[in-house]
Amino acid sequence: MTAFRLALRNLRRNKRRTVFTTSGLTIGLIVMIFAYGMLDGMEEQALANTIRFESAHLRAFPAGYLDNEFMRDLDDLIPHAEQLRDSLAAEFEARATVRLHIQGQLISGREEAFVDIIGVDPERDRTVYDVLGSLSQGSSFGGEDGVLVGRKLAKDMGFAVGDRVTLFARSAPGALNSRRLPVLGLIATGNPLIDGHAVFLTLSDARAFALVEHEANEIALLFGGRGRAETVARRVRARGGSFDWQTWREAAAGFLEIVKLRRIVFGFIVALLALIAAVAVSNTMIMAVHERTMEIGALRALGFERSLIGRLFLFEGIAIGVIAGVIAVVLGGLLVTWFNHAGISLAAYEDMDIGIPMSEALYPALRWTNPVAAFVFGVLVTALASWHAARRAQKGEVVRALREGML
Amino acid sequence: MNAEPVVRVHELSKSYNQGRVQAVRGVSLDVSPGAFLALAGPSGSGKTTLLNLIGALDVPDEGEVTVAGGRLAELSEKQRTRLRRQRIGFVFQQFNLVPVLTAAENVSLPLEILPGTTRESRRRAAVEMLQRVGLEGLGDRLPSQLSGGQQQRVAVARALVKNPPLVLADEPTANLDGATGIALIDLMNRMRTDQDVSFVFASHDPRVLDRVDTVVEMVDGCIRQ
Ligand SMILES: Nc1ncnc2c1ncn2[C@@H]1O[C@H](COP(=O)(O)OP(=O)(O)O)[C@@H](O)[C@H]1O
Ligand SMILES: [Mg+2]
Repeated sequence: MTAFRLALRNLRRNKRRTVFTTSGLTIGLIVMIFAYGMLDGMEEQALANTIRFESAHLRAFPAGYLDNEFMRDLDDLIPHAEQLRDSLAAEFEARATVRLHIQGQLISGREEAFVDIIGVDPERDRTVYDVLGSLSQGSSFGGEDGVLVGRKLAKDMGFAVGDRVTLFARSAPGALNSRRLPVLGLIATGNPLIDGHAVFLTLSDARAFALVEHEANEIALLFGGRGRAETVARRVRARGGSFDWQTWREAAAGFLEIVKLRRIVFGFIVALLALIAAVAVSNTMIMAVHERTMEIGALRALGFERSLIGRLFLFEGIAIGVIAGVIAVVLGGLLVTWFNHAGISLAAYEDMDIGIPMSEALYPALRWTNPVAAFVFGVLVTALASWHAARRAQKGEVVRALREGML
Repeated sequence: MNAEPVVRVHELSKSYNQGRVQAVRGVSLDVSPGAFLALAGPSGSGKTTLLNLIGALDVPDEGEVTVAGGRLAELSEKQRTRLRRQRIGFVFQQFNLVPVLTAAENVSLPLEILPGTTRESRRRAAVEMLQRVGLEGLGDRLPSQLSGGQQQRVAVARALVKNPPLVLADEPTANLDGATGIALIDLMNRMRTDQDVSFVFASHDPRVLDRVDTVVEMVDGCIRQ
């Protein structure tokens, strides 16, 4: 009690130094809270984006499909895809849709690009994916035949809604096929795979183009919750059969790896911040011990135990951590809450592929774990940093302390 | 005056720097209850060293010190700390008040580390002590808001608040001007009679030496007979 009150009072002794050290630590902790909120938000949004536009919860592909990312022909397809779709949907209480992916080229004027031509079921696709609901210009399927194209792709190649483009691809029997179609609408999802590389047709148009009837190469399932994907995947994989299965988490593995990398990089930055904070606090406390040598001697003469003297300085240092922690939790929490509502616009980076699917604004995640971690971190750093000063304060001999103070 | 002495010093020696500086050499001395005694002598004669040995702040190389019946040589460091906490008051040349505590808090500080005191009892004791040293109403001031003489009075109150049988004061008047120093010594003299406590000073200040009952002259670590 004595040590605690004295420690708090002592903080007021060299106000400027205390304010300086505390605000430095506070800023560090706020940076930590905010940056981890951003990382969490990025991860969360990217996962949501992947599920909404790219992976659903679980997808079935023809066997071998996933191993051959760049050379997918239409030799291996899922026969009677609609039947399988309906039985999976019924068995696992999932919403389900069929897609047909055709690797081909899009030609517009002199520009050409390799694209993923995707045939989608106009009715069912929107129960699983949000792609058809992410039109930024034009209109969806329903009237005349045509394609929906990723906005970035259209921009890169310089065509617009209403222009005609040519699709060029190998059909299932192997012959090359091409078709010239108007662009009905542009799609903006924030997912680089879609916005920059995808061309959507109706499933029936795509089948006609590829010269297949009831086959397809993707059945996408969406469950009540994404946690169910693993369980279902385990069960369907256990049955064997001629399918490749991919859960949303597996689909996201690539950018989760990137996020993890960023976490590691950021971990180093935090460690560096911690080191700086520790040095600052330690320095502040060592100076305090040095300045109060005589007072320490006097207190020991009055009958203060060594350990009490040590605690005095330990508490004083930790108090810096607690104060900085409280301020950082409040300010950092407010900052994260604010941006969680307002979002941080990424419009300026729209054309930059950061390897992570993102929409136009980043929303840092509101998680209590980050402020709590920052608080604990601040207190631990200051405790460790003042430990040394506390040892020094309690180590010396009374007589020497009193004499040194005199000199 | 044939009661058991408060302090018994027997053949006490203390040297520093591996024996190169013999600060105290074979000193023997008794301090009787209620004494008002000064260790006098020039700077470097060993006054502070002897006072520190009596106050259980330092351990002798040879000889023995007994304070309030307890032989210091038999005490561990923790026990010496406890002895100081319970039985010995200190007054320093530099006052050494805790600058972030008010006068009243400084006075009650020694009670905070004693078991069995309540916040209320400590507060009352501090108010009473401040009144007795003539600082009534100044309890809420910080040391920086008090004059040197007032600060040293607070220090005297702090030394006496736990009712110790012994107060050790090292050059208590060295930082006080003429009249203030005299007033302080007179105050301590009054407290001595009121509270039945022994004062031992280390001082070469004539204002002190003129007012104590006993002057013990030290030269080169020895007592001059
Ligand atoms: N901790 C110490 N280390 C080394 N020398 C010391 C120490 N304390 C005292 N001395 C020396 O011991 C002698 C006596 O000092 P001191 O007891 O302070 O004398 P006084 O109080 O009479 O001035 C001096 O020569 C002083 O330099
Ligand atoms: Mg001295």
